[in-house]
Amino acid sequence: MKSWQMICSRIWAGTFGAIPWCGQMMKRVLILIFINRAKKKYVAATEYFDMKRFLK
Amino acid sequence: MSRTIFAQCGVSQVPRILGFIDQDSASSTYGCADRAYWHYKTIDFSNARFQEAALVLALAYLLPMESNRFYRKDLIKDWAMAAINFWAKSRHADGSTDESYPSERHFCSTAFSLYSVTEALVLLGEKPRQDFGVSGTFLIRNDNSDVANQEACAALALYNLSLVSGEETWKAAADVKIGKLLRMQTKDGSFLEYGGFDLGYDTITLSFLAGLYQKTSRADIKAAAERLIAKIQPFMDEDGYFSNEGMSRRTQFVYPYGFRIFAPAVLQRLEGGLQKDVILNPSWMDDRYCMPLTANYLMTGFTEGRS
Repeated sequence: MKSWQMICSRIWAGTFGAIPWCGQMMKRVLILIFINRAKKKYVAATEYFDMKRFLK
Repeated sequence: MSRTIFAQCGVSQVPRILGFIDQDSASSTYGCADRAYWHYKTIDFSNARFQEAALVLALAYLLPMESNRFYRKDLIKDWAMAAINFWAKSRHADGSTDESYPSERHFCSTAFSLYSVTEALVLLGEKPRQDFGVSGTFLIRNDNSDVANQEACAALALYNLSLVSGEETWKAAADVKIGKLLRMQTKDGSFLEYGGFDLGYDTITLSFLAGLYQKTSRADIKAAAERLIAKIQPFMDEDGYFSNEGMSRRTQFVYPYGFRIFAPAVLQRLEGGLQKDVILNPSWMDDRYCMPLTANYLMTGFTEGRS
């Protein structure tokens, strides 16, 4: 997480984030931005070493 | 067929995972498994998913294998319970938990962590010392229809809640989630992950289908699992390896437990891949993701009291 994102997340936590409904809406917005509209699809699980590809 | 290699691989990760946990019983963060939070203090909230360590420790405590030094060691059970207690007290008032940022109230982390702690309690024969129902209610009131593995996990978490609480209402709630999950299966047998097919995450869904089937014996769950395996199998080579090109979430892992229950022949392929050391396994993964896969490996190798 970049510094400005961390600062925003703390401001969020201290304000609207305390309201449960807001948390759900924020999640939908984040999914819209990072998954549905992203050029490169978000991957929750990071990529790891691929031994078979390495040995080819 | 030997499942020992999965158990051995899982047990080999236990010392590493024990290192994640605050083992000081006098500490306010006793049982916390997020080192960035309790030890390095580089972050000011704990990732609830690290508390899945509770299930790893419960399985290590109960796995009767000669090379398992953690079998029936009281401290392992104590730390498993400490991880569960820390999870319970770190939740929000609505029972939800955070994973990536404070006040996230994340459906996924709530489902996976509730599943892990309740599964640990079921295995250990213990009851919750706090109100877990509030987290069950959160899962009932929320969904993630874009991601099947999370719905599957929520269904099993709710079913486990009925087992540890003795309240039948959670079984009814689990049935509702199971219904939603089964309706998410496509005609080709896959369960959608953000609009596409992802083999890795579908093996997580398969593992939860296996857990639900073992506890409910529902024929529709078994049928769904078999359709999913028919979709998955052609992508995997003789070592259980698959290419993640074109997968919707580009995962590389395979959670083996579902194959243990529904497709032993595929499990044998994975066993071969592990023996050759050519497939992704918990020892290759970062701290965050090694834990659930370790638990899954231990469950695959766990034989006592199970078919």
